[in-house]
Amino acid sequence: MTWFDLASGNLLRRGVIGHVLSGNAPLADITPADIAGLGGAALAVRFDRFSDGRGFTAARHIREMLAYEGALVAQGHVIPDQADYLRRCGFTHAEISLSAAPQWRRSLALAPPAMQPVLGSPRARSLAACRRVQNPKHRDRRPD
Amino acid sequence: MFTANRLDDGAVIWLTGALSWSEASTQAAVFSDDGAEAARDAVAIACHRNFIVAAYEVAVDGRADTSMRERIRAGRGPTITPPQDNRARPARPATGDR
Amino acid sequence: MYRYDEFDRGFVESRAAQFRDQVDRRLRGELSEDEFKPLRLQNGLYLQLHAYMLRIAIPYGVLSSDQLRGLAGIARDFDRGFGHFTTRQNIQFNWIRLVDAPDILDRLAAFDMHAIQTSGNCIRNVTCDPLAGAAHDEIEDPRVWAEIIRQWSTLHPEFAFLPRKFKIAISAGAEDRAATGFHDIGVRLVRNRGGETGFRILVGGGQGRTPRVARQLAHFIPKRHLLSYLEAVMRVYNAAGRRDNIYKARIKILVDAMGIGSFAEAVTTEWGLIKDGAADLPESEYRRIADYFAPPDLAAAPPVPQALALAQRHDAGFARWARRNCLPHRLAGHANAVISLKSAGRPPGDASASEMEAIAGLADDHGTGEIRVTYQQNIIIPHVRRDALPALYEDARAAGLGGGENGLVSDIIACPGLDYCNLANARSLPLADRIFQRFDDPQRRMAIGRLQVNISGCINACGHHHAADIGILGVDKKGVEHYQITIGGRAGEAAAIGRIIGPSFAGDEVPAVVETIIDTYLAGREGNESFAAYVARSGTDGLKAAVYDDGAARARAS
Repeated sequence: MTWFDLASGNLLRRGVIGHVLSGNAPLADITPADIAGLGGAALAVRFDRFSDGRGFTAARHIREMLAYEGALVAQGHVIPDQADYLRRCGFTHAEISLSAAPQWRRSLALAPPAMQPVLGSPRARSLAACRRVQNPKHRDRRPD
Repeated sequence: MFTANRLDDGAVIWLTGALSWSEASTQAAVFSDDGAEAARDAVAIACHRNFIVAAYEVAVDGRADTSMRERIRAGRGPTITPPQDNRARPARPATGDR
Repeated sequence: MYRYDEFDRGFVESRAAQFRDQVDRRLRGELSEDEFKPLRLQNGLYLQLHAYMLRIAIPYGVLSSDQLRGLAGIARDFDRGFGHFTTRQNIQFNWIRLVDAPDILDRLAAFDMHAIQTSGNCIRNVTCDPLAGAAHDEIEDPRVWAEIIRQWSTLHPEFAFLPRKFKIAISAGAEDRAATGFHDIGVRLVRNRGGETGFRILVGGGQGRTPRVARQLAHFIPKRHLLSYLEAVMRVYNAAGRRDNIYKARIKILVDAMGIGSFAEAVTTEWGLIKDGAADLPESEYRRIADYFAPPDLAAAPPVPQALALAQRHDAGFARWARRNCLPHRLAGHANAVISLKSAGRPPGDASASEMEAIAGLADDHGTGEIRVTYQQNIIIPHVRRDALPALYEDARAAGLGGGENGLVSDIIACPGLDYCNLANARSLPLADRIFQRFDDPQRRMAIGRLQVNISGCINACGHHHAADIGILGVDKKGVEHYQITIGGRAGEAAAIGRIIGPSFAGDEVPAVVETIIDTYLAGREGNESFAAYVARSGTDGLKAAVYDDGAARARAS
């Protein structure tokens, strides 16, 4: 397994994950304690099934409610077609197999531009060229 | 009998006695206990090769299943007459059996 | 109406390209059917009884004549020359090849249409009052907000994999013509005491296995906060909606389980975090969209021109059509004309490619080139001068589209049923035809008055049977098609769910049962009392007795 950088489409060596949250966890159970003491390690959200979309809401909760600014990794059953959705909900990386990487890159490039601004990314319609621009706060903070 | 939709165009097809697939329901073979094993293998292979989708087994009493659903499906269209286009093109040539 | 700009055009083109890649991967086996299914559904592609079915969105029911011609072309080039207008302002084609679907999406993109989110567990096509912008009783044009909701909900990254499908409807008229009470979220434009317009939000309505009339979630949400409020509702649902049982996954079940009070509290908490944030629409973007919906420049026309009065005196067919199918317009000299897709031998909502072209011509020749589709599966030509109505009627009649009266017993809403659908238990279309034949005398239909008969082929209730004066639900009884009858349902204002009156009937008994119910009503009504008012006043016992005591015998005899 390797890490796919959802902003750049690059592959990275798998980093250290400090804590794994279930994508199925009720929002009330995702608390500041989950991001405390990561010490530079990444936080991961685990998807049991790609079609269970709770992990997307969990990621936004982690970014917006808990104001977490570090690396956020999607683990488990996620598919390349979800790359752009994951990125726009606040994930920085997806943990994938090496062989899947070309399709992840392709799917990310094929994703239609965003209709709605999420997580401070600019409204695409007015700034169509900026669709790959990320909130700088969420740029790769992968621990070494 | 075994039936499915062809993956690339969705056409309803049936497994024939020769373990090939046909768009003609009249070509559908009824497999008894003996032949059913080989037929199930043929279905699994066709699925695996991404030739068919949504395969299922139709239990039959005699020659053909008589449920309204299967009759409509075998008839390849609704039991009522849809509106007719007065500039109708010739029907798309049948893809034929494969 | 809304026109795509460069961004919108690029958006739908890139969506088609994305789907082409997904289809290729499916055919190569790189995507399993399990993974491909939600992707194809979110592009409107189902696998139905006969083949793939493609459902194309007609956002909030608005089409240009050229778009309808484009749809006719798709019917002719990729299907069997006809399409089916659905009960949610979509059109569907029944024999689509998977390999053709990306080409069709490209074709749609070329005339500003798409099939995005017409299926799947996501926010579906937003539906709206078909008279929006032309109605006599609306606060303001709800299409502006329908378009804003469409853009916000389209490929929303957080809400593409919800527990279940999610339907939103919006209306702004004094009369609710969008059945907002039967949607996951109903949005009503209202004015508060200060004269400000905003939204009343309803939640948890729907038909199906567990029918519910939506309850009020918020009595007034200011316009500028609509999107953040909707986003808060969606977030609560996405996080807490059930995923263990498909039959309990809709938001109505969550609202039932939490109670409307707790649910509203959870939404308010979420909303507090995102209100005034990026989700809400900047004023400039609101103005950009609103400008597309500026009212058409309609020349003043005499309120009741002589030509119309004359034609009414001389032609009973036109008089009937004018009375039932010409709906009031915001301008006295204009009307909105219903072109019925309910006539003898026509499956409700079906139109051939040539008929679609004829309707496009009617809109160009007699209206403003604009067309609306209704959830009742009819077409409306808005903005027609009243003195052009006789000519419109003549042209419609010449095209075989002059029959059928809006809102009468023959204006049957029906799902495609077992003739097309993989989920159905029973057929809807032949039954609709038999009921139509039973009431083939237009004078009798006029005498009966407003009466809605709806047919669903299964409990999923696509035919809205719960919301009908007389609802008919197809069930499977030991392998034979049977039909349950409900009475007293109602869409729109004071929405209500019909009640089952007793054991089901075989298909060939149903037309006589419907007739017995109607005859009993006619014998017992006071003055011009509508069927709904009659049922509200006298209950259903008399109708039940007529159907099950003497009615059953009569049904068998006929």
